[in-house]
Amino acid sequence: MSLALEAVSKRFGATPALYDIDLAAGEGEFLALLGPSGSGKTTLLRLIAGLESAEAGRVLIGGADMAGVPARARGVGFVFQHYALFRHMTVAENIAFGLRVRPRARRPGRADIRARVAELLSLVQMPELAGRYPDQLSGGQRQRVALARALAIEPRILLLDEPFGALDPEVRRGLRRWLRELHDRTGLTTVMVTHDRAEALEVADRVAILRAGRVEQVGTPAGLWAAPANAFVYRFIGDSVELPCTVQGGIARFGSASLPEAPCALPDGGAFALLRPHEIGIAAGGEARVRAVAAAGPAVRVEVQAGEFVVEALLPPGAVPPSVGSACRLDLGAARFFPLR
Amino acid sequence: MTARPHPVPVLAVLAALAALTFLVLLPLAALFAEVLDQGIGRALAAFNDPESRAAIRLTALVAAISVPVNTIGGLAAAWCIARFHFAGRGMLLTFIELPLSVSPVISGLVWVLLFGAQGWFAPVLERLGVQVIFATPGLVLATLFVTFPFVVRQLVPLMVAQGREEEEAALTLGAGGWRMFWHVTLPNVRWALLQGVLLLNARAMGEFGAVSVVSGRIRGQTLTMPLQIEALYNDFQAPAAFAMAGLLALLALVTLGARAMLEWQTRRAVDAQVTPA
Repeated sequence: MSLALEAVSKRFGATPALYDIDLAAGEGEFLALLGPSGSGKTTLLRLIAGLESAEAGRVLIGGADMAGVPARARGVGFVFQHYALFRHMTVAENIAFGLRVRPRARRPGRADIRARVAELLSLVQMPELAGRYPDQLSGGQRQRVALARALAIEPRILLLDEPFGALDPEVRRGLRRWLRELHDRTGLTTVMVTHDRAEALEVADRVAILRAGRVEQVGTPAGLWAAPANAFVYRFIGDSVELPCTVQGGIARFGSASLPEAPCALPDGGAFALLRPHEIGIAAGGEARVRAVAAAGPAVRVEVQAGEFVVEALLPPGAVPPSVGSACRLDLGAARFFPLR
Repeated sequence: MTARPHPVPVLAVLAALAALTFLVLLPLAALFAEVLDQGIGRALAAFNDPESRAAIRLTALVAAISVPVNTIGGLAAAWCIARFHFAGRGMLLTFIELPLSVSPVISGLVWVLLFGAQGWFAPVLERLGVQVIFATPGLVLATLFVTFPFVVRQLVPLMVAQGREEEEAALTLGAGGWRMFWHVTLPNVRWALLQGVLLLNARAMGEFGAVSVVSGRIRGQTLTMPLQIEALYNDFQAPAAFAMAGLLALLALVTLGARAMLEWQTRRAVDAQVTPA
């Protein structure tokens, strides 16, 4: 079902946590909320679930205003960061919980519940672990049980809070792919909170980038990468090199003879240039000097001393790395300029 | 684990054992030896005395009221303190400890000030014809006051450590407040709660100071077991006093044993959670 947030604001005591958030996820969409810790993304997720209440604004699920609807009646599946499995129940009992606590009129029979649990256990690929207790499971298994438990109630939307946060990198990658497949199979509208950009950009259809309680930009992973709205987004979604400069008459100067000037559309004044390491070109001969070369890995990493700056560049695969100590010059043609605030 | 066990500080251990023997085991042994010395028959005969029977009944009644009331009240208080951050939370936590830090005599006196013949509520009580002080209600109130902290103190640290995520998960899965409580909150703290209840019960039956202030010492009416023991002893009926004391001590030992078993249970449960499969 679709999800919409309209002008949602939230404060904790005197501390504002979310300012005027407008955000929507279409039917079947996978939306990621990406931001550093303290950006309000988890609070936003809890607001959708009804675990927190907003000071202002509306939360709409399937077009219906959720004001006054308690968490238990919202029909959202919530997967907690630390799984929050019921420690005294087996895996099967955990998954069955949401069905067993339904009011009698809507509660499935015992056999139906058992069948549904079995179905979900095979969906999360762990049918043999039905009788285990949460403390007998690995982190990845707990995560999948938590997901199965959330799916058992046939939620209208699925909310995931840092679903891979507590797992090993290798397990994370496998689960990430599995989660995306699961989403494609179930077609559930999904909102995932994460601080890991690779996770958000790889899994989600669209990514909302949050900072200090505000949405900085919403877009597809490719769109964000191609056209970041501001310096924060640029920095947050990928590695970047930052060079301060002064703009005068449409030309940016870096105050160092070893960095070339570049055309810049900003008005006169202080600014800075942002570049992706792989966008920086290195040519032989010039005022700059190669400080270090690391050739292990798919791309060659070159550290260049340009005046007072140390610039890290990535050479494309197959490029011949320059020798350490040799003179070079940098091509900053791909730089994006942002004004100093 | 790679850490080597520390060398056992033999002297300290010996000192601790000596202190335990001298301060705890020896007096307790003396008590039971005294009881056995009189012969079991005479000890049992002491319980045929109607006043002693009344004391036992009264103690059972006071415990039967205090234990459920303070279990439910303590559970509610612990839940509020552990789950919500409200104004005055810190103060509430401090005040809950008050009965443990204040002298039991004061715990009794406050009730006299409230409900005694000259107390704040004396006119109301007089009109209603209810007697609190020097009667069973006073004994219950004093016991409730003294034993309130036990359940709360057991539960708050555990509930704080467990966090509220499981309860929130239950809510998002469609459980109402009661179902959440019965299926998630209560099972998660059951062992600690039982421990608290045992301690609460032991204190409710054994309390002397607070109840002695509000009791008025009417024989056969307002004497609980500890008060009866003192009364017997003061009457030079040492054998009966020791018999009764033996029974009370036996109850304490049973409580202690049950508590040790529970602790062992709990530790096993915690170990299972810490050790990954």
